Amino acid sequence: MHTNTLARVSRGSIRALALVSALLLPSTSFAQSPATATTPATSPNPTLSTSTLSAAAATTSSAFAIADDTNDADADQARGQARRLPPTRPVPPPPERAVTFMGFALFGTTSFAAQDSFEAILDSSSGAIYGGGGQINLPLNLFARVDVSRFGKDGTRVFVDNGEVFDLGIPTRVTITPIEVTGGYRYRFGRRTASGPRSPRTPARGSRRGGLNIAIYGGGGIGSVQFKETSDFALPGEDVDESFTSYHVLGGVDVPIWKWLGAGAEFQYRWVPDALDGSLSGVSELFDETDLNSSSFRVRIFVLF
Amino acid sequence: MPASGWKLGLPAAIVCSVGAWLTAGLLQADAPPQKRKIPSTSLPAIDLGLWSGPMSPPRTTRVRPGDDQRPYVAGRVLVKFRDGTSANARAAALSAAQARGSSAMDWADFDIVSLDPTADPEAVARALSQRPDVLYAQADYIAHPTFTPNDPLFAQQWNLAAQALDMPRAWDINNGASASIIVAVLDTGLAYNNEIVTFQTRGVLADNRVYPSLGQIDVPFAAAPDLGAGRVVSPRDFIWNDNDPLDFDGHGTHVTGTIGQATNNGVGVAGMAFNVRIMPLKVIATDWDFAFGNNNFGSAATVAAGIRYAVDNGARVLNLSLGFDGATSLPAVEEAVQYAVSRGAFVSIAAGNNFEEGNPVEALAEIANRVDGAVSVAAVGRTLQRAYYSSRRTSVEISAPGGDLRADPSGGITQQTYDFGFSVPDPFSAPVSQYRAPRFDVFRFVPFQGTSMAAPHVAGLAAMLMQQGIDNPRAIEVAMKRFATDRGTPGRDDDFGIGLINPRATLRGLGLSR
Repeated sequence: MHTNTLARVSRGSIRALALVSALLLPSTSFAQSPATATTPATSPNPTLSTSTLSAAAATTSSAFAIADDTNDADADQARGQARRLPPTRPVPPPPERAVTFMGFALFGTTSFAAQDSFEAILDSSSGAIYGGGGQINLPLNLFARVDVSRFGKDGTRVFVDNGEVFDLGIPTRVTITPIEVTGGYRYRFGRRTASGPRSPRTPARGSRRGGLNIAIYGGGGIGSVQFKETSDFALPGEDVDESFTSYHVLGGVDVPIWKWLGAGAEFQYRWVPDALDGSLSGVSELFDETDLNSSSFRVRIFVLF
Repeated sequence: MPASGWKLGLPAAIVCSVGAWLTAGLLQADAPPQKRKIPSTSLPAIDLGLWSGPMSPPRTTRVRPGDDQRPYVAGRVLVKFRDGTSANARAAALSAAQARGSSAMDWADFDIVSLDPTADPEAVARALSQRPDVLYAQADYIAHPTFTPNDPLFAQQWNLAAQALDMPRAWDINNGASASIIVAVLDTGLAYNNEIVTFQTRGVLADNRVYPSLGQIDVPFAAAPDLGAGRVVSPRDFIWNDNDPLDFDGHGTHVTGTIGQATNNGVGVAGMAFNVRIMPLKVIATDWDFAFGNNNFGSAATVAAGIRYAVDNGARVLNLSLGFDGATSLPAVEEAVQYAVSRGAFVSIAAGNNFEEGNPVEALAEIANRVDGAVSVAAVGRTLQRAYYSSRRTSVEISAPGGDLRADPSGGITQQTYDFGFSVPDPFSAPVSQYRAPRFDVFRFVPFQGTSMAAPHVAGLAAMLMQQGIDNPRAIEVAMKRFATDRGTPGRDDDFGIGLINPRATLRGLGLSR
């Protein structure tokens, strides 16, 4: 009965119903969509169930192909009796672009492993970071990213004896600027986009470009960390401005916000070995903290191009 | 010229004097050991200026930054184009300079042009300046404040100049401590009061010479003009047991000047920590004390008492430019030093001047070596080599300028003290015919040498460090040693200890990585 009713509605009504169903039905319906699309040609059951039709309409272009291929004459036939749909070849999804680009701004907080040293000079071993970068999403769920971030904080020079820190009141500023290249794997969940179910006719921008899905990712890379420390009363050559090679791993999740806009959160750990060692000897030497390692929690706001 | 360092115990003259007094009393009965001040009478000090002894012309120099200490910011120049210069012309100029870009900063009417960090900004600036559309171009030279005192004899204070302690740069960081820091000077007293004191003198037999009594004499005293007014707090005389530690010698006044001589006052010389308050404590008896009828000695007892008095009355830094001949152990003094440090006071102690007299044990310096927060100070001359007299012992912890007049006649430590033509600090070494009443109101700027002169440099630095924020005497010692400039054999040695104090580096302390 239900099937007959469906068979009598117009093409436009089918499409509208399919969209509504897609919104209401559980996601498990989406998962079966490719198989559903081929069902008319292979299934021994000549009838269309509500679920198969709506799922097909909602999730795959082949489902729409079914509706689109149902011309008015076919509809008239359908009014008389249920019929077996003519065999159709499943229409493949529109090819997603193999490569997409994202630009992003980032901000967050970072915490340095040289805790005692940073706390002695800056009163805290953590602080805000900000920056930005670009990412290229590659086939096979791979991605590559370049970003730059910046940590800057004011403190005072000190002397440390037996663990006791004496503040000398001489202003100093520490600036850490990593430039990093990251490669990794990015797995996108489902097919939803920020603008709703994807339509081959009126696809969301992000959807068409294949980027704005919920995605998790992980990766690692290498970079260069510029470490600057400037103080009052420094003579030429006494301020520090050096760069060190860094290594990092990161992982996070991206979520779509609206069309081509998304946000993500990620955790990063960076190794910068011996950046506070060698020819330099500040409080880090007293605390035997030689590395500039840090862990960061970063929020990214990105745009898909 | 003998090294200046007071030895408690039995100096030769005093031995003779005491012997004469005890055995004879032949010349005159001893007077009561009291000072009789003439009320409402004070005379102005007489400042006779610099001692007329040989002094070299001023040799102050400024450290010239080396190749690795460029005086400008690397990788940029400042450029101002003439009004009306087109964008194309600007771009051409910058291109010719191989600039990476340019930017402007707020409140500036010039551009900051970025260069390759390895480029020579001075050369680029010169090249840009040749262009007709450039009004000026310059390297971005690094500015720093510099305090150079206007004291006219500062130029002769090599010990404070760049080649030694580089105090102008240290004063940029810490301008001579503050009045909240009290430095106790345990010495022969201080010329800090304008007064006339009446003494009943007695005759003295010294070196088989009889110095007759001078009778009752009025001795004028004056405050050292370059010390400045209002600097003295809680004075105490442990020889005369009163609160008026007048200096009958000049040693204490000279030492005090090195610690805290008024500076940038257009007068005389500079001191290390010129804003501190001074606590003069007289713990050393001199020949004139004896001649004026006082039988007390400066001794371990007076020194120990003086140390405790200083700390209990608020002193944060103590200077002991003194030693004990023949003593190998001074437990009473050691306990006092430990007490001082436990109460948060730093103690600077002269390492001793007897290297050429057999380099004996210096018991007080040994104490400093055992107590964290007290340091024994060796002396270097103008060439920063160990002064000939400075003790070479394991007790030496650190070095400071003490002067070496043998190596360099201009290599003394110049400070204001009495004119010895009038005060006669060693009266019983002169012929009897020249024996006369002293006056302690005539001053000169006199070069001294000795570890007595080295220790107050360390005391002054300690005061500055206290004011800068290191309020733990142990930490002050550690800081001084950490930043000391190594001299002699790499690492610690018996000549210099850890090395020569480096006030600027010590005051600047540590950053995160440098």
